[in-house]
Amino acid sequence: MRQLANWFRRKKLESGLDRELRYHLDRRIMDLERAGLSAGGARRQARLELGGVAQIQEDVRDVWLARWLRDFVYDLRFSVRSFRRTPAFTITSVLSLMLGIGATSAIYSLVDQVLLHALPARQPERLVLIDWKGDQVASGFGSWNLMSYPICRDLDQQKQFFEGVFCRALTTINLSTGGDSRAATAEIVSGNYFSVLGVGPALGQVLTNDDDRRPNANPVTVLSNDFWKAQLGGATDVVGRNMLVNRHRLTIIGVAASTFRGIDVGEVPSLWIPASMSTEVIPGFNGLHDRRTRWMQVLGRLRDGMTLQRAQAGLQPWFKAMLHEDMRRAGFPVITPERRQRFLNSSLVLTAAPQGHSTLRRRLLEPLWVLFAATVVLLGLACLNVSGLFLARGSARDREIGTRLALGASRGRLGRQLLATAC
Amino acid sequence: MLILHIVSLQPAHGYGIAQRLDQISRSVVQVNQGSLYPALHRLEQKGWLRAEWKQSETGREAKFYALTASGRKQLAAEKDSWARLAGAVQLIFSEGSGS
Repeated sequence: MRQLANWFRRKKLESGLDRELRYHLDRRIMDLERAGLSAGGARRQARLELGGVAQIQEDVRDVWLARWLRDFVYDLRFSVRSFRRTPAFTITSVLSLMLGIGATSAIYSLVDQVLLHALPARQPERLVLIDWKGDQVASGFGSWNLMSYPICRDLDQQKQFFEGVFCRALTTINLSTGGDSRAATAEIVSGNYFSVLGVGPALGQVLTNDDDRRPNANPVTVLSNDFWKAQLGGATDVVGRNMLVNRHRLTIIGVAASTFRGIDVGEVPSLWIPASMSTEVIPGFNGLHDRRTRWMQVLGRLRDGMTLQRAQAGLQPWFKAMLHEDMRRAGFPVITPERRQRFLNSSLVLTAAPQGHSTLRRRLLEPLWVLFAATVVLLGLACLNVSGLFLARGSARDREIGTRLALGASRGRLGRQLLATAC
Repeated sequence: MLILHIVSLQPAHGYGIAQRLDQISRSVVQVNQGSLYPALHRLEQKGWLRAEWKQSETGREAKFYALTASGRKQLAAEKDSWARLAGAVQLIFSEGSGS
């Protein structure tokens, strides 16, 4: 540190050293003259005794600032000067590097958000997505990996495999807080959604199983932190306020933790509503307890020490029994023998879902990686481009480097100068 | 160590230190005057010497070096280790001549 500080006050140091050495010489000359030498002889003698002044100055400068550091600073200044002399070269290389690095980091941050970012939940690596492979003999609405609410509740009972299983469905609702109304995204969730994910409230409380027991009896909602901040100005007294969701009154009981933005990267919900209220908030929907209406994604948290494969294998016997039971239920549709076979051959598939569920991710998985690879190639091209430019310039400096070598510069020293130019 | 010792007696400038070294050691220790200044600056950098510009005996401004507290500690430590080394060498020699 002290050495670096020396670099910035080197003018003062230099003049001080000059004065010091001059004083030494003058005193010595004086003393020698007093001893009887001629003026010229005394001067010569004094210089001889002291040795080369330039050499001493160099040695002292090494004390002030370590040699390699000093050289590096000189080299940097040299590079800056040579860059200033060739602005076209400099602009070209800076631009191509800028493009390469900018594109790569932009795409990487997208990849990171969509593909790599784990949910801000407790131990996200234990989260799995549960999917039905085969014919569910069900009608449904929504996007991917859908099952019915009662099956989700049944899965939640499989405690030897899961700590808990929750389900959720995204829907667009008409929301009005005061006078005006607007569209918002809401996540309809089972009551254990927050407890299975391990997400707590920032304010008030989050939904619990008690909010999801009796149909239409729990007019409550939890706000997302983003919605609370953006639309309600982060007011601390929102708990207990009412909102109209599709003209049904819901009471705000809390705000979710700020890091949590839902389990779907593509769509951040404004609020969470218990599934027991689905008939109220989804117009015309009456399928909450219908086993043949598939509309929710089902995710679970594996028990500690349970592996995905063991859970998947262990679930099948129960699942087959459930299929047979379902078929005997009143109201099971009349189907062809082939379809019945497809239904009975269904199985459950578990996939690790540390990043939650995302239709966006599913859609973008491949294109994003391809895009990322493309930008990496672009960065590589930019580097190649710049190194080509440097190479061309290097060969143009052939004569200069030859001169430097002839003057006694070591190869190592020249290499270091070129390296300094590169950084 | 020699420089530290000389400066510990009284603050001195570079030329004075060179002269003193010459005198005290009766010209046995020939310190190249050229290497004196890098050494002085190194000691100053380490914080063992403090320098200031003062009027010298001839009336001109000269850079006087004085010992700092940490320099004093360093000098004591070096004297100590030198004494131990010299004592050990002495011991070996006397052993050798005794047997």
